[in-house]
Amino acid sequence: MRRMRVVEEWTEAPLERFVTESGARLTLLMTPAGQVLAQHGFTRAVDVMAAASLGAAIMATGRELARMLEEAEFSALAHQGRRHGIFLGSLEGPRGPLLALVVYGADSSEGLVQLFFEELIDSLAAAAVPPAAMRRPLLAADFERELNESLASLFGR
Amino acid sequence: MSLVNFTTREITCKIVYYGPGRSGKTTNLHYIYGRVPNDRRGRMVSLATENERTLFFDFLPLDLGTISGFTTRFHLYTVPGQVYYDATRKLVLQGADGVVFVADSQVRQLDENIESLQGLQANLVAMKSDMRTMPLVFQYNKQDLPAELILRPDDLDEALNFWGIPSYASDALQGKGVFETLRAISERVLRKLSQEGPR
Amino acid sequence: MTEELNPRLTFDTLVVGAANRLAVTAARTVGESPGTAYNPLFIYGDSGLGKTHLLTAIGHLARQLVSDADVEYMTLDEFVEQYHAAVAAGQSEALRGRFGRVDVLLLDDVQFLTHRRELQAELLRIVEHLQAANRQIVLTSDRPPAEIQDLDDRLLSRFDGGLVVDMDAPDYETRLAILKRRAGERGVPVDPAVLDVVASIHAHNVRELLGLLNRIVAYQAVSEVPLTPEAAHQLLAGEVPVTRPGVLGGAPEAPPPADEFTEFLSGITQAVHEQVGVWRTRITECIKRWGGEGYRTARLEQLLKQEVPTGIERVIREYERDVDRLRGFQRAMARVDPHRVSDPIFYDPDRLEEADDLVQAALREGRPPPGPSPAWAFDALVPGESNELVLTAANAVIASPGVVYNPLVIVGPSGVGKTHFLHGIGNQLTGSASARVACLSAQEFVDELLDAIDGDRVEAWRKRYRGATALLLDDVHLLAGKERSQEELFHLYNTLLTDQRQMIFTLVAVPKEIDGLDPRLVSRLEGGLVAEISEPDLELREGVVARRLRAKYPDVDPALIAYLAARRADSVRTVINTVQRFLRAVQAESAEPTQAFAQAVLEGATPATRPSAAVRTSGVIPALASGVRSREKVVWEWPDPEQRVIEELA
Repeated sequence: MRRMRVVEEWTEAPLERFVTESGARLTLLMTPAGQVLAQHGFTRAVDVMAAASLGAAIMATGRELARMLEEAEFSALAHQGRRHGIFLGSLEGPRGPLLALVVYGADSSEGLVQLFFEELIDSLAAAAVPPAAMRRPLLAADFERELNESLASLFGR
Repeated sequence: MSLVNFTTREITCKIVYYGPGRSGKTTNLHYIYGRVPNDRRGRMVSLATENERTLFFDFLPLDLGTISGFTTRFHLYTVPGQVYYDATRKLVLQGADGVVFVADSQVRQLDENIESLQGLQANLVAMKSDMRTMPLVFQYNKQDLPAELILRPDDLDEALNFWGIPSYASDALQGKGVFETLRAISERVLRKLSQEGPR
Repeated sequence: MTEELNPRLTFDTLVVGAANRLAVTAARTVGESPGTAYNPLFIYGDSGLGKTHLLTAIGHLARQLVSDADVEYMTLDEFVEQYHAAVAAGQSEALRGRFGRVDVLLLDDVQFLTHRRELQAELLRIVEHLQAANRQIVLTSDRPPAEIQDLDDRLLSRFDGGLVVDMDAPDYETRLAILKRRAGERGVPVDPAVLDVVASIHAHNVRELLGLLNRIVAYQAVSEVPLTPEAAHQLLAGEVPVTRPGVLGGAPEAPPPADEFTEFLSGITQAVHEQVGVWRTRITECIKRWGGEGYRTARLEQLLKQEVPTGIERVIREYERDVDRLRGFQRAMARVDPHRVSDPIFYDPDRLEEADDLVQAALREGRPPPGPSPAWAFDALVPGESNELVLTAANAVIASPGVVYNPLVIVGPSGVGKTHFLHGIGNQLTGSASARVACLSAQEFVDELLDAIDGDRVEAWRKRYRGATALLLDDVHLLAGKERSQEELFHLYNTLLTDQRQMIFTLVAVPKEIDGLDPRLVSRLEGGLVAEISEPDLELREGVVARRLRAKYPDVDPALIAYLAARRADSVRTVINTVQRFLRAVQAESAEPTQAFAQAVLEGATPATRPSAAVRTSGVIPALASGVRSREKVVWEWPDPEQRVIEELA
C-alpha cells in the first residue's frame, strides 16, 4: 500500500489531500536542488534520486532559457505521454521555492492535476511552520549529508 | 556527435570535467572563461543550485577559429559531483569525446575520489566505452593546500591511476595546470582520430 | 612504334654536378653524333640518380639534331615482352630486322638480363648488328656489367669495348641546385634557407631528395604560416613543427608570448594540423601518383570520404605494398605470356588474389601455343567436288573433336587450300573458352624447338603443346630429315591421342611418299583419315570466282564467271590469281567487266598482260585452243615435250 512519506510533518496533510483528489500515481516535493522533502508512490530510493535530479535539471534548464529570453520564469511544465503524463510545477514555499513532480495516469488529467496543484500551494502556505522554527540554511559542506539523510528518512532506516 | 566533418570542414570536441563534488570542475571552467578572449568563447551556461553547486551542468563553448582550414570548436562541460545526481551526470556524459577527471587532492576526500572514479567507469561501460578507449586525463586539484592535508601527485597516481593515464597537478583557483590539462585532453582527443575507428 | 619519350627529361632539365659530369658529357657526345664516339655506352648507378633521365635526354637530343632519327627507348622488361611476342608469332626475324635498323637504341635497366641466356644471345646479335652498322646503343643498369650475374662473356666484352660510366649520388651543391630548380618548376616559393636545410640532409638519391621537397611543399600548402628553417628541420626529422600564428617565419629568435591561451591555441593548432591537415594532402598526393600510373585508387579515395581518418599511414603502406605485389605479378606474367600483361587486373590492388591466381594459372599452363589465324574463316571455304571429302571430315571433326577422325591428315598440292582448311577448322575449335588450339606450321614448330633447346627450356616447351586441346600442324613434310623434331612430334602425338585431343596435319603428298619421315610417324599419320584435296573442280572454281567477282561487282555477268571458271587451274591460288589479274586490268583501263574484256586480258595481245616472247624456262605453252596454262610445274602435269621443242626454237 503506497504511503506518503515526508521529511517535515507539516507537509503531509496537504500532500495527502492533493494525491487523493488529483489521482496522482507518483508525487515528489523537492527543493530546486533536487533535495526531496516528500514522496509518494516510489518504492526505491534510486528511483527517487533519479526522478528528483532529473526533474530539478529540467526546471533549471527551463529557468535558464527563460532568463536568456528575459522572461519571467516558467512556472509549470507538462509532458503528455501515452500512458502517463508528467507535471512539473514550481511553487513558493515558506522557506523558498519548491518543486513538485507529479506523474499521473489515464484516470487523471493535466487539467485535474493543475487544478489541485493550485490548492496544494494554498494549503502548504497555510500549514507552514512559523519562521522562528526554521532550520538554518544548509551549509555547503553538509549538503551531501543532508541529501542522504532526507533519503534515509523517506525510506526508513 | 561528429568529431571531424570534412564536408563542412568542422572539428567539434565535447570535453567533460568529471569528479566528486566540489573538487574544482566548475572552477576550471571559470578560469578558462576568464582567460579566453571574448571572440573565442561563447556564453557560459551554469545550471546550479542556490549554493552554487552544479545541479545539471556547466557549459562553456570555445571557438578556436580556423585551423588548417577547419572551424575548430571545443565544448566544455562539467557534471554535478554528488553521487545523488547520477542520473543527470549520465546525461551530460553522453557524447563526450574526452574526459578530465578532477580529483580533490585532500586526504579526507580520497574515498569520494574513488567512488566517483568507479562511477565514471560504470557510466563509460554503459556507454560502450571504458577507461582505456575514452581519451582521459587526471587533474589533481587543490595542490595549493597545506602539505599535511593533501596527497602528492605520485601518491594520487598510486591510489587512483591504474591505467597510467597522464596526470597534472593543479590549483584551479589560481589557474595553475588548467590549460595544461585542457591541452593534454584536446591532443589526446585529436590523436585518437588516426588510431581508432569512428565511434 | 617507338614509345613516346618523356618530354620533361631532357638535357636542359638535368642538373649536372660532380657526381654525374662524366656520364652527362659522354651522353651528350653520343646524342650529338650517335654511333661514332662511345658505342655501346653503358651507364650504371643506384636507383633514383637520373639514369633514365639521361637516357631519355640522349634520345631527345638525337632527334633534335636529326629530325627523322629512329630512336627506340625501352626497358629491358619491355624488350623481353616484345621478343617473346615476336617468337610466339613466328616473327623473330622481323623483330631483329626492326631493331637492326634503329639509329639509337636506348635500353633501360639491363641488370635484368641476369640468367636469361637466350635473351642475352638475342641482344648480342642486335648489338653486333648495330655496331657493325655504326648505330648507337646506350644501356643503363644499377650495377656495372661485370657485376651482372651470369652475363654472357661476349656481351661483357662488347660493353667493355665501348664506354662504361657510373653516376653517383649528388653532392650538397648539386642537391641544392636540383631543389631550386624543382621548386621553381612547381611555382612554389620556398625560403632559400629552408632549401638549404633540405639540401644539407644526405639524401641518397634524387628521388629521395624530391620526396623531402614534396613534404615541405605539402606542409606549406596547408599551413597558414610560412615555414621557418627550424621548422623545416623538425618536419624532415619526423616531427611536426609548432606554428605560431602572428609570428612570421624568418624571425626564429622571437620568444614565445607568455599568454596562456595563445600557447594553448598554438598547441591545439599543432595537434589539429598533425591529425587533420597533413594526412589529407598525403592521401591526395598518393592518389595522384598511383592513379597517374594507372592503378585503381578506390581504396585511397575511400579514406578521403571518411569523416574520421583512420590509420592513414597504415592504409597507404598497405596500398603501396599491394601495388608492389601487383607489379611482381605483372613481371611474372610478362615472362610467361606478355600479351596479358596489360590486363586491368594488374592495376587493381583490390584484386590481388585474382591477379595471383591468374599468374599461377599462366605459370602452370605456360605460354599458350600459337593459335589459328582468324584471317582464315571456315565459312569462307568454297565447297566443291575436289574438296568434298575433306570438308565432310572437317565438319565431323568440328562437331566431335578428338573422337571421329584422329588424326585428320589433309593432303594436296600447294595452293589448294590446305592451310585455309587447317586454320578454318582451328577457328571453329576455339569456340569454347577453355580451348587451347595450337595451330602452326611445321617450320615454326622446328624453330621453337631449336630455340627451346638453345635456352634449355625443352620441358617447358613440351608442356606448352601437351596442354593444347588440339594440335594443327601445317606442311608436316617440312619435318623431313629433322630427326629431333620428328621425335618430339612422335611423343606429342602419343600423349595427345591418349587424351583424345584432335590432331590435324597437312602435307603436300601422302605420308608414305615423303622421304625422310620416320616410319613410326608415317604409320601414325596413315593411321588416321587421309583426305586428299585435288586440284579444284569446276564447281569449286565457279564458287571461288563468283565470290571474288561478286564482292566487287554484285551484278556480274554469269557468262563472265563461267568463262573464268572454265579455265583449268591446278590450285585455288591459281584461280584467285587469275581473277585478280582480271580485276586489276579492269581497274587499270577503267573497262567494263565483261567476258570479252576478260578474254582480251587473258588471251589477247595486251602488252601489259601478255607474257613476252623471250625464251622461257618454265612450262608456259601458248596454245590458243586451250588457253594459257599455269606457269607452275606440278607433279602430275608436265608440258607436252613436242610443244616444248617448238617453243624453244621460236
